Amino acid sequence: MDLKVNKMRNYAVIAPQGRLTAVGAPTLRQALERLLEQGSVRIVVDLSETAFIDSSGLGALIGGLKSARLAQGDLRIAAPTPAVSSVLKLTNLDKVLRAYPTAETAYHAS
Amino acid sequence: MQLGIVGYVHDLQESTKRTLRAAEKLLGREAKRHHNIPELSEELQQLHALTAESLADFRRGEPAAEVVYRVQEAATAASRRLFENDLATMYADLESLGHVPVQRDEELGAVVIDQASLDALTAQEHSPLGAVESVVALLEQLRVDRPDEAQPVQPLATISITEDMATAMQMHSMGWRSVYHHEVLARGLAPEDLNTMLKQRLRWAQGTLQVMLRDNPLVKKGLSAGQRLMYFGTMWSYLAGFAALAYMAAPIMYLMLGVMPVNAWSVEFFARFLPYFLINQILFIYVARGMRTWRGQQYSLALFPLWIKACWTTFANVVLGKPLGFVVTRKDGKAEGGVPWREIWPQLTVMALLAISLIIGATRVMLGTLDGTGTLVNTVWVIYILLALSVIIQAARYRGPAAVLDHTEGDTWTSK
Repeated sequence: MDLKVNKMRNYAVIAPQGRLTAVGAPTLRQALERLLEQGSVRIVVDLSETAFIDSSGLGALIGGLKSARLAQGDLRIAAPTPAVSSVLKLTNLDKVLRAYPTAETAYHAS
Repeated sequence: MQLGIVGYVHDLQESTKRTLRAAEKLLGREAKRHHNIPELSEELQQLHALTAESLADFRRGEPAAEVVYRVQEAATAASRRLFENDLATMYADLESLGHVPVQRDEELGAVVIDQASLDALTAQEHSPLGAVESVVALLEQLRVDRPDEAQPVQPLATISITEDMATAMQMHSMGWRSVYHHEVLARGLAPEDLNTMLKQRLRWAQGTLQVMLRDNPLVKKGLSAGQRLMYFGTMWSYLAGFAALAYMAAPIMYLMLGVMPVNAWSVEFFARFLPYFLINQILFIYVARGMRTWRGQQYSLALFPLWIKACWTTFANVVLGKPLGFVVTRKDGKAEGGVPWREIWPQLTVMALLAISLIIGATRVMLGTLDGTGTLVNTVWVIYILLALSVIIQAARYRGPAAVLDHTEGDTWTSK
């Protein structure tokens, strides 16, 4: 799994590419922690290039959500692929993490 | 049917052993590789130990289905544990945020995701073990039903393009008996022109040699000594092309250049050659029971370029994995047009050389530069070869019985 991090003016985009599993999840966790440490507390996880996610990947997302909220920020997800959407639905996590159509629109309203 | 099931079981045993062995190696390696993810690494290690045990049990004769089932069960359990562990962490995170979307079973204190979802999330496709992609592929392979490979009834041998012979040999090796029945029971179409016939014979030769290289009767379990010799003889006979080169080159060299192929004519030579030659001929006459075998002798010599071609193409196929370039025999008996000069030029060249060497030999005897007895023996030999090779010309000129049949309109075939 590769990770692309992109800091915008008032939010940061982090895009895991490939399979987000137990092997890739620690990388994602670390990247999220680093962003929060640097003060980027508004994070979008762009899932448009994430081919697959398993429980470890979900754990990293929720862990990130918790840390971001504790830092007075938020973690939102954008453009999940069908494979990822179905896992979110199966775990009911689609009710916690609302999927925005694109990374740009995730913080648009606020 | 028996052949099919025995073949299936044999393949299954082999592939199970192979897969378990691969699984053991791979799980050990992956467990080490992912040591920085302790939960995953630990599960992989446990699975590795269990696979090693299972492999030992399998070698001790435990049925494949049970061994494989045990490994799969363990893999599923590992999946569940990893999944539940992740889920518990997630749940704790969410609870600390005061945002719990999942139902909670109060008594068990566990998160409740309905059974169907749970199954889906821990099934092979979504298994947390799938983090290691190679493990997913392996688990798929361990499915004992092998949905994509199973051919429970594989009634024909598929190691050769002469599947009839290969199948017969497999049946013999299982203890089936065959008998010769001297009566016409079925009629089949045969090639009616040289070109088609040459292609057919090439395939026979290639197919037989494939079996020799892939399932050699000399070492095949279950065949009797006689059967081993018979089948091997069939295969061995296709190596005759190389011997034919020597048979033809010897008299040409003697008559044209005076070079003796063997340095002992007289008693020494004939004491060895004649018994072999006569016993061969007598045996032929005896086993043929009145059927003529001359045509067979002709072809075994006359198709020498084909036999040689068969040897190297089959070697390239079986050993080097090159395609054979299989051409199906035309079943309508229609000629594929004209004389196949490209296929028979070696025979025609040899015939021309033999004829020329006869003239040169005769001339040299008259001039007194060649020995009379040697020339006589070689002349007889050359005539024998020429008669044998002449079948090629006869075949090239043959136009098939179609011409005859055209005149008998309304004639119908009946088969018994």
